[in-house]
Amino acid sequence: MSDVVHEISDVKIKISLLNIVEILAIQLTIIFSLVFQIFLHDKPCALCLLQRIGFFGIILGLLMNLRFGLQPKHYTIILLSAFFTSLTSLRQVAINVVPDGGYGTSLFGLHMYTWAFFVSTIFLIVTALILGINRQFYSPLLKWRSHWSTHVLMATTTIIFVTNLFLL
Amino acid sequence: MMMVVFSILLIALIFIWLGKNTFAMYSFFLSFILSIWIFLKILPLSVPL
Repeated sequence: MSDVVHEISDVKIKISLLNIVEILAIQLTIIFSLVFQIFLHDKPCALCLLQRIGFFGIILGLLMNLRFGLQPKHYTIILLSAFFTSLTSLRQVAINVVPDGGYGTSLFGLHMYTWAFFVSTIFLIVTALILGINRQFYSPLLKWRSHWSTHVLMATTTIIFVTNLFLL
Repeated sequence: MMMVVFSILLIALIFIWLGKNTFAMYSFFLSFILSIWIFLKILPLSVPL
């Protein structure tokens, strides 16, 4: 019995760590866009803001996983947001897909909306794969306790969120 | 309109802080529906698909 509990808690810890890494990756993506906006005066268009909304939705789903425990409904939020982000970024790619075209500045040869498309598509695939791990949803005798790092991540997300709100 | 969607997402984040899972879900879905509406509004539907 204790082996099973240990094994399940091990799976939960690994997936929680993966969630933390994913949150940091999304935060870095949004910070990059904010740096471009503040220092390079790259004003975001409506589609760029919709992509940010999608990224914030992904972060909300991941934070819910860390705060309330790993649940399928949180993965629904992540998948919907990632799909919405990939849809809007693909729409923007389709608008600007002309020779010597493109909107805004580029990073490593690719425009920001192209990066957004890649990141959101990777998130879609990774989340769909993680959702397939059944053992994370078993909870024998274990009460979920959020780690202190969850509160740090929530605080940093709030700061990024409010900064974004003020720069609209 | 974009401001409204971001504000609702911020409210969802505050609900996560407060430990209210259901209210956070409702806030998220409200902002999601609004953002889909914005996306459809800026999408020119007159182009041949």
